[in-house]
Amino acid sequence: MNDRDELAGLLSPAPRPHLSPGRFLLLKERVMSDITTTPRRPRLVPVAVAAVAAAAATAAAVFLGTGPAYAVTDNPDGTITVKIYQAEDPEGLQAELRARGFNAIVDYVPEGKKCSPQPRSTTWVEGVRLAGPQSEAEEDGGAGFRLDPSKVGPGQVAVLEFMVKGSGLTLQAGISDRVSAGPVAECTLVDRAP
Amino acid sequence: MDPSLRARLRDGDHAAFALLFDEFARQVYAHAFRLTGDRAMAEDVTAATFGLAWRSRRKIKPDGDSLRPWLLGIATNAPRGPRGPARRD
Repeated sequence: MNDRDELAGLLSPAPRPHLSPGRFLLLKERVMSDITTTPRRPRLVPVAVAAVAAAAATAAAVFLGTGPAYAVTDNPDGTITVKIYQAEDPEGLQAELRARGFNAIVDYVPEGKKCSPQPRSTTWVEGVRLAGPQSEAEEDGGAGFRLDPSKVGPGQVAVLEFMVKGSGLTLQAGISDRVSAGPVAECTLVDRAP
Repeated sequence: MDPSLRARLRDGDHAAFALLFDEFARQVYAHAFRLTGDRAMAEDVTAATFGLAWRSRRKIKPDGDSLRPWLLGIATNAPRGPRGPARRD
């Protein structure tokens, strides 16, 4: 092995330009929402600028048979990994997060639906995103999202809308992650415009 | 591409646009990733591309081949964040 090969071996592999099913769904929701809503409402998950890359919303295909509807894992860096296996029991997930001191409102939004009213808050904290991608190792264990509770300041609340599609082995999920500094309207599911 | 789909796109048919997205979003994303080297920015470029495509849908000719070159062209010139778009217009 020459020096070049040895150095190359030390480098991380180049990221794959692969759009996971969950990210695909999220992006489609974003695009379709943008073109169907007038006036344009705030994007649910602006993956915006490079600086936000690590905090951008993440989604992935979720597979599952029987078992828990979700899993919550504390990470050494203070983030929390949430995996959704079945589109049910958002209240339980919300309670799990709050038990960790993570003030969050959790809703599940099936395909073709959206939360009403919009906007749910008039005090969104701009530029704050608290969902980031899982590690590749985590993705192998199913879809999930790394959430950073430190992004939620005193008196603020994270508003997490998990967009879910399909069920069981084919379930896919995306996330809308925003932070509100004031009251948040309850999510009533209504049909999304075709 | 099916001429009727082109017509539906021109007419602002959301379902037709969803089909367009389904067919080409991954290719646009891969192209955008090559341009930006960043997943998040590639998603932004992809979203911007389809947004621009929607607003430019009346430019779609009634007949023709794949709309892929058109979309990739939009992606190449789409804004890429605060450090500057690749716009050439």
